[in-house]
Amino acid sequence: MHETMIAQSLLAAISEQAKKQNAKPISAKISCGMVNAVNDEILCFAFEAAAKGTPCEGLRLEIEHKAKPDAPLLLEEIEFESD
Amino acid sequence: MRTKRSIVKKILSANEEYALENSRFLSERKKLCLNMISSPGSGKTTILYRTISDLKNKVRIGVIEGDIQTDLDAKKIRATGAPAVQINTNGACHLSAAQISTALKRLPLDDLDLIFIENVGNLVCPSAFDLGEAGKVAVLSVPEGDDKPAKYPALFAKSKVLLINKIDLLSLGSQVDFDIERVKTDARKLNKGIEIFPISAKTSEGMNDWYNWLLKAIEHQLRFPPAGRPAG
Repeated sequence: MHETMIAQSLLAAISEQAKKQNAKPISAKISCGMVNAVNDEILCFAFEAAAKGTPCEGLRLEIEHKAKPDAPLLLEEIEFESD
Repeated sequence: MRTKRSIVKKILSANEEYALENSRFLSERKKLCLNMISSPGSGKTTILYRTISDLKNKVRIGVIEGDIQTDLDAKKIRATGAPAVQINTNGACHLSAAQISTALKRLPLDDLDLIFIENVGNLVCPSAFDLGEAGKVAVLSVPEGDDKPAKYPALFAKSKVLLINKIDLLSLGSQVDFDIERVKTDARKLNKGIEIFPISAKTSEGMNDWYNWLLKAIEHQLRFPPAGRPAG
């Protein structure tokens, strides 16, 4: 259930970058370690719910689980689409 | 046109900022703060009740209680004479650092040596949110089974201490299927330095080892290296 809060923080971070770039984010890559206890399916679902009606709606999340157990939760890359 | 941009930004930074602020606030005042995490029903409140009562003449303890609903636990703690602040999360499955920041200001900190945070009963989510504590204390009780460190590794990997509670039940013999050595081995596989104390808050068995650890931690105003980065 903590994925809901992670999804909200993630949405805020991606939205901020999208505003700076003035472009629509279409995918984002994040990474985490075992201690973050991230369930991919739940996080994607939570993000989808949080992003509804925002410029991040429909964004595809790519989640990498690092071998290092205490690797921090990081937003690593965003793919944007612009005209 | 599609473009990719590298960002590398920590997520959960809002919680992290509050956690860092709490940690600074506590260390400036030289207060030890421990974040107790377990499943519901493992005996967190009973352990705290017993600890506060037994150490009454040595350590001044305050408690921040996190529950989804009710102030039942805060009332139990107040019955010992110790101050307790109740936080109701109204459905949220863990405490967050901002809630602790407010609760700390409601405790008479000048009169306390040690602050326990009793997190919402949940073996998963609370371990992902640092609150600014010096260390996490995991509690696992015998009826929950000896496979929990293997199945729910995050908490055990991040905790400074593991209390294995309700060991009085082990005397029931073959009726109880719990291999305490398996718990120790699995927990140490995840976390080499974890301190493990088998206890029974009901019979007091093993509680002295836990108290000695606590007294030492307070005495040296021990600041543990972050057991995970804030909110990591």
